[in-house]
Amino acid sequence: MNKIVTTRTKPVSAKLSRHTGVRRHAAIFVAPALAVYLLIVIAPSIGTLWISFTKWKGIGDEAEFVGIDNYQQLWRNDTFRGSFGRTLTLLVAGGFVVFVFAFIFTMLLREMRSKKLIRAIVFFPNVVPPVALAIAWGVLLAPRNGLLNGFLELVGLSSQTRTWLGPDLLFRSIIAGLVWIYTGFFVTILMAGVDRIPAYYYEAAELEGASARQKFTRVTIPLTWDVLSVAAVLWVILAIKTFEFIYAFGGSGTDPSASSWTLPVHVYVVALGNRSPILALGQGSAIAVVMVALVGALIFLTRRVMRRAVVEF
Amino acid sequence: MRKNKRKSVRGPLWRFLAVLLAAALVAAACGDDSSSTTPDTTTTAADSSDTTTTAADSSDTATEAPAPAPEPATIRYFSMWNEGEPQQQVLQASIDAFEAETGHEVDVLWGGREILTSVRAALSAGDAVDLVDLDAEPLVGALVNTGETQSLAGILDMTIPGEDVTVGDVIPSAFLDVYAIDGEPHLIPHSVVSSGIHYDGSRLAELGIDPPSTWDEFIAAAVAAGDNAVQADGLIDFYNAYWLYWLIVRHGGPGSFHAAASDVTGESWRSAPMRRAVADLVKLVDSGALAAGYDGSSYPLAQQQWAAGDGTFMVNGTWLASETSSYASPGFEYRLLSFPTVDGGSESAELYQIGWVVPNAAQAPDAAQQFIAYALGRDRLAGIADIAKNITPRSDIGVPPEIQDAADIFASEPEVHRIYDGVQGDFPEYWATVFLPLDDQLFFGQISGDEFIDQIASATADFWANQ
Amino acid sequence: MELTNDRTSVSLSLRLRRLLIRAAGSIFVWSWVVFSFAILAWIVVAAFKRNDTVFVDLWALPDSAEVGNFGDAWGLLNLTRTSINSLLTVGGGTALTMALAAPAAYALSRMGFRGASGLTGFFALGIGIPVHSIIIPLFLGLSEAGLSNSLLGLTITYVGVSIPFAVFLMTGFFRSLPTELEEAGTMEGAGPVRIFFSVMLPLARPGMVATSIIVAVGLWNEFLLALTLTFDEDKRTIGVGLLNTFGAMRYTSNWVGLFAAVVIMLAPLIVLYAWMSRRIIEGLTVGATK
Repeated sequence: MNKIVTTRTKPVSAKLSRHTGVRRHAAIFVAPALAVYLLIVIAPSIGTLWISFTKWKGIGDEAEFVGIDNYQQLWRNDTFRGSFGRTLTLLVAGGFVVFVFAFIFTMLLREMRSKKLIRAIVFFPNVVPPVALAIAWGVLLAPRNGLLNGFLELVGLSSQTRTWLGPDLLFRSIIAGLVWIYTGFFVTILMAGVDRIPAYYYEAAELEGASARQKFTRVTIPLTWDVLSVAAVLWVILAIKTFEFIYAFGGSGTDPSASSWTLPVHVYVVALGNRSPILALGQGSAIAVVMVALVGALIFLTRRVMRRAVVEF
Repeated sequence: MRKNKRKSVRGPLWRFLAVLLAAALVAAACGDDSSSTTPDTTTTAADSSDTTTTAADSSDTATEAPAPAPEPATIRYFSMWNEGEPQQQVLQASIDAFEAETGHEVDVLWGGREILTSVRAALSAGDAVDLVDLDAEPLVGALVNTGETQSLAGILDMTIPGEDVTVGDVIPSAFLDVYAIDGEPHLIPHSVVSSGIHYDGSRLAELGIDPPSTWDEFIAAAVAAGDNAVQADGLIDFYNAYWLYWLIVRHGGPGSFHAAASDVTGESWRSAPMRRAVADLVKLVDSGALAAGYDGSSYPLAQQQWAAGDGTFMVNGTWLASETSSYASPGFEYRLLSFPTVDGGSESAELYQIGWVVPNAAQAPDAAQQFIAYALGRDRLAGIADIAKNITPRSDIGVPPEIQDAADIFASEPEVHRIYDGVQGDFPEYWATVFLPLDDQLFFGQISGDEFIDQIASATADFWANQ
Repeated sequence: MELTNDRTSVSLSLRLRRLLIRAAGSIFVWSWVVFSFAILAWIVVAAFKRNDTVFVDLWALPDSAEVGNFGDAWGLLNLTRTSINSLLTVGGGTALTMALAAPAAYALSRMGFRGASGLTGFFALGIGIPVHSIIIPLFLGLSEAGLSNSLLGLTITYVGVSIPFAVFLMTGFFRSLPTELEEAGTMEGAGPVRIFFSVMLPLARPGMVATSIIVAVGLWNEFLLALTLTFDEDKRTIGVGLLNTFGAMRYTSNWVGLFAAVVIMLAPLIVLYAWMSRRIIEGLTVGATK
C-alpha cells in the first residue's frame, strides 16, 4: 500500500513564494488529520495485511501463519475470478454509462431553468439508505407485477418484457441500479465545476458561433479538468468499493448468491457473513488487500493520465 | 449549525480545533453517560400477553421449593430476535417472570440475525456473554464447534419450575444428540423447525388433486395444478437448494449429501443416487410447473403471490405460515407435505433447531442454565407455538392448525437429518461458493443434469485441493 | 445570466437542429427526473399501504392511509434513542472530520511542500479501503484502548474513515481557488495560518458545506461499523436501528412498516438536503467569482 507514497514524491510546482516555515506550518496543518487516519485506517489495514498471511477463524482462534498461501489460492479460485471480473465490468461499463449520462445532464442543466430542483432530485438516491433502494429496485424489476414489465405492457411493448432479475440479466440490472444512483452524484460534482465557469466564456463562444459540442469540448472540458479528474478517481473508488446495494439487492437481507458477488461482497461474505459464517478471515483479508491494491493502481493511473496544468480563471 | 461557528472564528488554528474537538468529545461523552443511565427500551405490543403469563407463573411457583440462588446474578443474554417479533415477545415474558421470581437480572440484547457479530465483539472485549440464542447451524459453526461453549448436561436433571418433570424428561434426546459433543448437549432448543412443500388445502381440494406423497405424484399434481403451480423466490439461492438437497437425501439417505460435499475427489457426485436426484430435479424444471419468472423473483414476491392464491405449491421452512399468514387469501388452509418420497429411498425428516448455548466466557453460567430450565416451562414455552407459530421441542405442547402437519412429522419419531444435511453448517464456504451457484444453474435450467454432475464433481475436487 | 438574444447570424436549419437537440435533451432529463421521483414516491406511498396488498397491487394507490405503520416503525426503530446517538456520532464525527480535513487539504493543495502530492495520494488511497476489510483489527485496537462499545470510539472511527474522502474532495476545491488573494495576503505579511482562516476558509466554504453533507449522509446511513463496534441496545444508531427493523419486518412480513421506517429515516435527509443544496449553489457562485 505504501508503494504509492514512495514512488510519488514529486514536488508540486509551488505557487507561493516559498519562505522558511512552510514545512513547519504544513506539518501543523496536516499532522492531526494524518494521525487519526493512520490510527483508524492505516494501522488496521496493516493488521489486515498481516491476517492475509494467516489462516484464522477470528477471535478465539489461534492464527496460523501460512505465508502467501491465501493469495496463491485466490488465483485458482473460480469464485474469486468471478467477483473480480464483475468488479471490473462494473468499473468500466458502468463508469462509461455514468459519465456519458452525467455529462449530458451537466450540459443540458446548465441552460435549464429548474436545474436546482432537477439536480436535487437526481442526486437524491445517494442519500437514501441503499437497503431501501435495493427493495424498490427489486419491485421495479420483478418478473410478474413488476413496475417495469407492467409499464412495458401498458405502452404496448409486451415483447420487451424480460426476467430482469434472472441469472442472465441480474448483474446488468444491478449495474443499471448503480448507474441510476451514481449518475446523480457525478452530475452534482461536475456541475459544481461547470457552475464555476464564468458565463462570459459561454457567451463569447456563442458569439463566435460555437455549436453545443464545441462549447463542450472547448470550454466545459478544459475548464473543469480538475473536477473531472477528481470525479474519475471517485468513480474508480465507488465502483470497486460499492457494497450495500449489491448485497441487499442480491439477497434481500441475506448473503446474496455467489453469482452476483463483487470483490467487497466477497470479502464480506467470507470474512463476516453471518447466516452461515465462513470466517475465512485470511482469505477475506487477502481479497481486501488485492482490492486496495487495485484501487491504488487505478488511482495512480487515473491521476497520471489526467495530470495537466491547472487552468486558472 | 457548525457553519456559524466556523464563520465567526478568525483566531489561530489551535483554538478552532480545540473548540470543535472539545464539543465533539463532550457530545460523545454525554451520549455515553446518558445512555448508561437510561436502561429503558421502548416496549412493544407484547405487554398484555406478558402480564397474563407472569401471573400464571408466579401462582405456580408459589409452592415451588425455595430457589437456591444465594445472590442475584446478572445474565447477559444475546438473542437473535428483533424487538417486535413474536418470539421476542414470548421470551420477554419469560424473562420478566424469571426476574420477578428469582431476583436475577436478565440484561438482554435483541440483536436480530446478526447477533453473532455482537457476541464476537463482546467476547473479544472480555465482556460477559452468559446466554446466546440463535438457530443451530450458524451457532454451532461459530461457537460450539470451536469449543467456546459449555456442556449443558447439567440442565437435563434440573426440575422445571412449576412442574414435576426435569428438562431431560421433556426434551427428546434425539434432538439433543444432533449437536452433542462427547455425548453431552451444548445446545438446548426452544423451537424446532423443518421444511417441506406448503400448499393451500382448500385450493387443492377445489382443483380435485389429492395431496401427493411420492415425487412422481408431486410432479403430476404440479402439472395438473395449472399456471404458476410451483412458486419460488429464485433470488434466494438457499431456498432453491431445498429441492436438490431433499432429493439427494431421499435418494441417497441422510448423510449422503454431507459425504459428497466433503469427498475430496468429488467422485461421490457421480454415484447412481446422485444422478437420480439430479434427474428428478430436472424433471421438475422441465415440467413447466415452476411459476413464470421464478428464476428472477425477488424475495418475498413469490411467497406473497402464493399466499394470495397465485400458485399452489411452495417449498420452504415451516416458518412460511407465520411469515405469510397476514396476507393469505380468505379461506387459506395451511397444509404441509413431507418432502415427497422416492422408490426405495429414505424417509427421514429434517430437524432444525433454534436454541440456547452458554459460552465458556459466561460469568453467570448457573443463572443462565436456571433460566433455560425456566423458559422451557410448559406455559411459558407454549407461546412459541401459539404466538410465534413454531413447533416446540415439548411434545406435550399443542400447536395451532397452521403448523399441525409439521408437528405431525415429528410425532412418529422418524429418523432425522440436519437442515441441508449439515453441509451449510459444516462447510459454509463450499456451500456458498461451490454448491449454491451450480445448484442455481441447474434449477434455472441453464445447465443439464449431466453438465451439473461433471461440473460439481470437478469443482468439489478443486475446492478441496485448494484448501 | 442566460444570453437570450442571439445576435450572430446563424442559419435557420442550425437553429432548428439546436432546438431539436434541446427538446430531446429536455425529454431525457425530465423522464429521468420523473423516474427517480416515481421510485421515491413509490417508497413513500408504500409506507401508507397494507401488507396484504403492497406487493400484489404494486401500482395501486392505497385505499386508506395506514398511518399506524409509522407508529410501528417509530417504536421498532427506538427512534428517540437511536436518533440521539446518530446525531451525536454523525454530527460530532462530521464536525471533527472537517476540522481536521480542511487544514490538511489546504496544506496539501496549496503550500507546495515536498511530498504533498504523494501524501495526497496516500490519503486518497484510504477512500479505497472498504471498512469491512479493516473492521476486525480496528475492533481489536479499539478494545485495547477501551473504546469498543462506546459512542466516543464510534465517533473517532467515523472521523478516521471519513478523513480520506474529505481531504480528497477538499484538495480539489482548494486547488481550484484563485491564487491572487493568497499572494496578496503573503505580501501583507500574514502567515499561512492567518491566510488559511481569513482568506481561504471563507472562499472554500461552499466546498466545506458540500463535503460535510456528503460525509454526514454517508455516516447517517452507515451501519456496519456501528453494528460491530457497539453492541449495547442503548448505543444503537439509526442505521443499526433500520437494520434491526429490516430484520423484524422481514421475519414478520411487515413490509409497509419497513417502508415507513425508511421514510422516517429519510425525512430529515430530505429537509437537510433541500436546505443545503441551495447553499452549495449560492456559495459556489459567490466564491468562484473574485
